[in-house]
Amino acid sequence: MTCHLPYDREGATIRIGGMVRRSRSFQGGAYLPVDRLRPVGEPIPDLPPAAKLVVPLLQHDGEAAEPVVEVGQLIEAGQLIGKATGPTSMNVHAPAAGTVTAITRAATAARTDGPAVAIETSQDVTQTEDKADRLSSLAPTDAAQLAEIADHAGITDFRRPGSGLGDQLRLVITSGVGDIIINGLPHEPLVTAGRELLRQHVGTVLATAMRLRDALHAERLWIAVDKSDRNLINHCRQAAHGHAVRVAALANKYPQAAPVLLAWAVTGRQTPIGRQPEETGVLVLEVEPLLALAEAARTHRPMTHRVVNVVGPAVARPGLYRIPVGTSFTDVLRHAGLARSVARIIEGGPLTGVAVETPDAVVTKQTAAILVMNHEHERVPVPGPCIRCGWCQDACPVGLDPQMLLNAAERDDSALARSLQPGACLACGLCSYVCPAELPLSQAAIRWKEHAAHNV
Amino acid sequence: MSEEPNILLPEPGSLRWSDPPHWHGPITVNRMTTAQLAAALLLGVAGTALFGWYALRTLAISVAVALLIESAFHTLTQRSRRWSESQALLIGLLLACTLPATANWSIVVTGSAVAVLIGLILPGGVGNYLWYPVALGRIAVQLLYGQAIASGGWAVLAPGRLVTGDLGLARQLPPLMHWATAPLPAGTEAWQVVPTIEVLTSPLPAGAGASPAQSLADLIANHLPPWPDALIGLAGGSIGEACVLAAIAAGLLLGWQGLLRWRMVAAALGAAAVAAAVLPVYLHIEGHGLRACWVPVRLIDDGLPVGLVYVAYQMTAGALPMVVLVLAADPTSSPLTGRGQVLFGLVIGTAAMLLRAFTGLPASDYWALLAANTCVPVINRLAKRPIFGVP
Repeated sequence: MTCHLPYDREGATIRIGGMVRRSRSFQGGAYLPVDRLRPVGEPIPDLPPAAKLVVPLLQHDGEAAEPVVEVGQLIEAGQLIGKATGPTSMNVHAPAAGTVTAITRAATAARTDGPAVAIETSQDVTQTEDKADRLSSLAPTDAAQLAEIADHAGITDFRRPGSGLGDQLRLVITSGVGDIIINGLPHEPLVTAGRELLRQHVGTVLATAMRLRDALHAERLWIAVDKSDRNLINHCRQAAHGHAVRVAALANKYPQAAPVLLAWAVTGRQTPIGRQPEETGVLVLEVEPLLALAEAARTHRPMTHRVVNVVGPAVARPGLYRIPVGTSFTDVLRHAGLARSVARIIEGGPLTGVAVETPDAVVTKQTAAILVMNHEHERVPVPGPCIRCGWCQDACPVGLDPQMLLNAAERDDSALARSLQPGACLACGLCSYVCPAELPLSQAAIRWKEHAAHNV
Repeated sequence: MSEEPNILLPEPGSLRWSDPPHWHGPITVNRMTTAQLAAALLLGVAGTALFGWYALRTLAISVAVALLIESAFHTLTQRSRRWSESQALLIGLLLACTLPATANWSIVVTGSAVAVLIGLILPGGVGNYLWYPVALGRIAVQLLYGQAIASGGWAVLAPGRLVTGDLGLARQLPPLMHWATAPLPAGTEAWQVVPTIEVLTSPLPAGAGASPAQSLADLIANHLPPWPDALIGLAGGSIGEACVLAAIAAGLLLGWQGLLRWRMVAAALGAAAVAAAVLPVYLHIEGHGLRACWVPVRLIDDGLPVGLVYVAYQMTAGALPMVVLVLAADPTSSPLTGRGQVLFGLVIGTAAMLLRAFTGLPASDYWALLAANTCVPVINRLAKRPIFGVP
């Protein structure tokens, strides 16, 4: 018998050496149903490149890369196919060898239509490493060079709106950084790739993070992990032994993995509304970009794959797959198999994921999970009148009043909305999740958050 | 892949689009209402066991009136409402639980009508009222009918006659006899009892030379029913108030469903216990009139835990368990946040004990709930959390 609405239990425990101190957690949040994990294979299985890949030239929020290949051109795996055009643009590389068949358009979860390069893959082209040799002259010991490697390899930091790892590093190079936190917590239920990669590659992750720590002259390096995951904590402790790396065992209360809440829980530093934790001297890093950086620095391979959790009641063989960017969701499902007919495909987790409009949409570097829902499990929410239970306010991790924001949206009262500080919203979706009346609270909050961002 | 040949890959245009979040929590308004109804039914079942068909009759009248008024209102305003928004059934049930089983039908009708019409419909239905309709209806009949509410006396069906007995055939329980062991005269099916709350809110008769502790010991030994009886409901009371165990079970059910927060319950009962221990007991000393005694604060006196026992009686007396464990769980008339709920609980517990100690007001626990309801807008403002990231 469990309580359905676990109210906040504050105070995560952080262990430093043998000492235990109470750390700040955050108020609100909720313990969401945790999926019983099936054992994750090692190494994570590769999804073979599909016959046709459509690699988007814009995989984050920014400017699209400029295509540097021509139709009919033979390309190799890892070859640059889209070159960054400006500071908000990122390099794009070919995940597999083949022939460019078109400079075309492709749908992704984030946008229904964007520039892309279509590649007909082939197994014949011999893979060579020479295309990446331009990176080998770099001795990646200083931070600017590491940022440059990240730029060359097109490594994103997986945030939405996403930016490059290089941009993030440059931000802290200028402003200085006190703490680096490696996030080993799942972002939301089912979005577990980072945690599993940390479990399998903790040594590499730590080595890269320590190199960054030294390059950035950061004072402390933390690994944030779920405090109920003893196995991972022990793993991290062993790897961290003798390296002045601290393991922060935090309650896996959603949305603890949000960077601002992570920075707060681990360092006690609060990020002002509309800012990034990096601006307060806390660098929050995800596991996969760190691994990609390690790979780029060591073997000069760019980031062309993403480890994706393919789950949901409609999937026959759910699990983590290493998927080439540009693979269509149809090809992913063909590989993972279908157990039931598909009603919805959601890119990302069940709370913040984006429903894709067409199965032809492709996997990008932002794809963390693919959630496939079947018809039998579909239940369309029927919003009713608010009963003033206050669960939305209680669950909100940043203390907003989602019900008033919805009120303001219904009345289109932007003055009222502004007074409610919607800029603090993390878009975690928890208010809608807990609302017994099934009101579209998070949509209203996110709408006002965007409104606030545009009217600064 | 070829393993599942019968399931087709989705066609373009076949996918449903939706806004995040794509999961919803387990509790909907529908389920909330069902949980509250189940809790009310638990009280009703316990009441029916103790008071027989009288209780059933009261419950039926109250529910029928409530449903009739609500459906008449919906017909008049030509609205169709979802079942989950229909609170009349719940309010009818709970209102009956606040009344004695023997209450006159006109009292039940008035209470139910006031609760649904003035408490629920007039403010605009669920989500809009300030005062919980059940408490409002109960207080309304208290003001309109006064002592007539309990004119049938307080009786509990005798052992062997539970559920099926006739509450009208009641006889005074002989002094110093226990409900379970007293021999039942022929033609008697129930025992007249004095509910704990009636004893506790009237001044204590005390001998001229007796110390307050002795008076209290005398009260506990000779005037109050055994405490386990008070828990089971053998001490009598309203349909839903009598059986404290049923209220606890209902509270556990509501807590499990997330409607009742344990911190609110702890705050309410804690405040009530402290208040009961601190507030005076009135002794009626022969030849000297009333005298306030601040005795319960000495929880243990002369090695006897009379103060503790007294506090325990206060906590389980009257409507307090039902108010705290069932009525205060109403989402609309309670504060929004967890912090607010704690303040709300403190107000209920303190107000209930203050009213008992200083006013002797009948139905004081419902007054306490209404007082706490009145404070909710202020509590909501006080209990606001700071917004993360606002300097």
